[in-house]
Amino acid sequence: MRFGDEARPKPISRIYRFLRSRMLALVLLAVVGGLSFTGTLFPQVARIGPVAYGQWVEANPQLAVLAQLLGLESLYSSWWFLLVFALLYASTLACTVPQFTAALKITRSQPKAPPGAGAPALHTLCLTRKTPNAEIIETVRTTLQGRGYACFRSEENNRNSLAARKGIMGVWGSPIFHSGLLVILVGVVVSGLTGFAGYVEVGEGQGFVDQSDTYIQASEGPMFRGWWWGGGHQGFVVVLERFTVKDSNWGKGVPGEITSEVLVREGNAVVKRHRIGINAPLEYGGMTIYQGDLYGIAPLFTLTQGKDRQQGMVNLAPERTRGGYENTFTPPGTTYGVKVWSGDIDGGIELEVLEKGQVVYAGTLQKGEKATWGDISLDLNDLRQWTGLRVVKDDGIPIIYIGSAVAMIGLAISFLFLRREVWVIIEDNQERRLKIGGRGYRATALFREELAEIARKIEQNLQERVSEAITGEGDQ
Amino acid sequence: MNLFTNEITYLWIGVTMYAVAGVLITLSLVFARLGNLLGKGVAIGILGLIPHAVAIAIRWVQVGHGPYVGFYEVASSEAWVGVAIFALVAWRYPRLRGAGVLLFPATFLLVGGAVLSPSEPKELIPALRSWWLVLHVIFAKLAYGPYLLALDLSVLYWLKVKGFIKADVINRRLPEPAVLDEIAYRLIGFGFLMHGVMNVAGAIWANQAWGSYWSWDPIETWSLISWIVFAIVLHLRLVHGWRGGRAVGSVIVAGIVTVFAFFAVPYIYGGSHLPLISF
Repeated sequence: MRFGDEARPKPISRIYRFLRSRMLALVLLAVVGGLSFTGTLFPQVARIGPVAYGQWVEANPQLAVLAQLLGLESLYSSWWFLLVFALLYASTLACTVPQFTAALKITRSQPKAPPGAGAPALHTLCLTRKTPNAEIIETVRTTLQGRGYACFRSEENNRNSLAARKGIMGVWGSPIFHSGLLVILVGVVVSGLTGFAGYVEVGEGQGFVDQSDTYIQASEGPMFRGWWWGGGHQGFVVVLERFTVKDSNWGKGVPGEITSEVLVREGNAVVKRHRIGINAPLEYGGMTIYQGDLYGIAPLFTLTQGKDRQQGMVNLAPERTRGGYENTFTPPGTTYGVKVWSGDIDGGIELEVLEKGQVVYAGTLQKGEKATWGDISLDLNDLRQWTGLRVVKDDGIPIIYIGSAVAMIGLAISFLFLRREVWVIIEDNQERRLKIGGRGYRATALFREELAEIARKIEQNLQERVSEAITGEGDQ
Repeated sequence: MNLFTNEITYLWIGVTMYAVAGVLITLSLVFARLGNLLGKGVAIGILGLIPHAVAIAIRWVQVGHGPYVGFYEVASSEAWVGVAIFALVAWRYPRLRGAGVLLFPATFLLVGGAVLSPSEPKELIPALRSWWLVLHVIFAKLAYGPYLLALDLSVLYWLKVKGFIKADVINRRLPEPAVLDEIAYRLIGFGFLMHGVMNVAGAIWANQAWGSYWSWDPIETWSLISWIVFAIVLHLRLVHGWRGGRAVGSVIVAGIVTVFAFFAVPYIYGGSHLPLISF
């Protein structure tokens, strides 16, 4: 071993000390806040969807280049944002463990009177020689206990003294709060690894099967399909029987009640019926199905081309310029572009068929009517509604809720219990004095006022209870 | 008698009392011989809570839900909670009554803005029918009230220490800077706890309504940003020992961020809160 080796800390110790650094925690908090702010300056693809993001790119080409260069369009799921969060949590973990040991040490220790050599007394009362020390200390003890202090008595040499403390629970607030944050992290990791979120659009009379290729958009964790976690998709069928939208008095674009009456089938058996609404999801098979806020009109067509006949539904989405609902589709096996617009479910539809940019058919259809062009006819069988449903599995949520509760309890303890210590010593030299001192750990100015009030109360009680004549206040 | 008219009448009575309180408190601080107006001004301001509460209650009965839909209701109830918290703090620390010199004018402006905004009752759409939303709103008010009062005390600290408040009479009627600083810290601690519970209740509401407890919606993100900013303020004080001017400066910055997050962000970005505070 070379000279000096014993003084060099091991790499793990160095990493631990770095993570425990108070400045690191502060810097990481500021970085997370700054990055979160940056993400609000650019639209996020995951939130607004690829279509809306594409419109933003067209409207802001230069900003879009910057956003794509720096990965700002998916900032919150980017590897570097998650890395900063991971560092913050590593720092939290490194800081929380010593907080617990420190809190335990403080709780087990007893306050001393005085707390250290040379600790200044903030108040001094000059006593007569009439009353025994024990009675004075007892009066002080009663006074402090009346204010919620826990008292600890000690005698040292010829001095009588008393130490007291209050709000010792407060030292546990910070470690409990930070532990709650760590539990939340565990929940988020469980969500990320085992969770699933999918979006499907379904028309009245249609259904969907809970399987991986059903969903228009889906994201799943790498362990979602693990057999030990419930085995992924369950294969049940959800059929939308009826969809209802009621208007609100908020004006255009803000609906009132939105509900989807659905049934759940396993094989041929109907196992559950439910009316899904906002704040009223359906829970089945470990999945939770939420009402989406997208909906529209869905014409049911029968397309006839020669001897071929097929039936299908087309989902019309809200059209902002004119109002109503619109979509363009290409009938299977053709090259026509069919543009459909509908104002409401009780009316008909407007149809425009294009081939190579030329209009080959334009007209309106009511239910039961047919449009014909070339060798194709399109029957409008019915006008129904479609809605979006969101299917979610998230086993991390209970863990996150527990972590949140723990964190809030820790904050409440930290706020409600302020640690304070008071000490009292009777000095019996040429003059007999009662010295009172103390410390407020988090609110020193306010504690000074409290200590002054305690000193006044002690003086008053000494005069009342033991008829101790206080001859005056000594130098502090 | 038109119930709606009565509601506005009570609200204007409350607004007027807040304005009178602000004037009286200012006069008591500026003119030594008018010092006795301080207690009267504070009392009038606190009594203004009564007609204001009656106005909120009438509205509540009329629309069938609490005061949290639309700017009119949110601003009015937020102002009421702010004054109520000031009343509690002034009762606990009587020397802080002078802080009403900033609080009551700000409250007057907030409620005045509410009265001048459209106030047609809006029904409670399904997304807003949740007890978690009610808790979210309650804790939001319990958070932003203390934050705003802490901002008020911090501004007073800065004015005192920087010498902008030159008159001895004003300086004598306000607590010493160290006390202003510590009470502001206690208010922030309370607000931080309430803010945390607000975020949790909001996440539970969002999960119940839409199946996602956190979707980096701009409103959610800015709530997190303002919570992180206050976390930094508390770390600077508790871990790095900041006191006095630096600590107060950090509170002022945090307060500005929070005011922006609460009032400006919903209008800039829309999102889930827009129905709650739209005009």
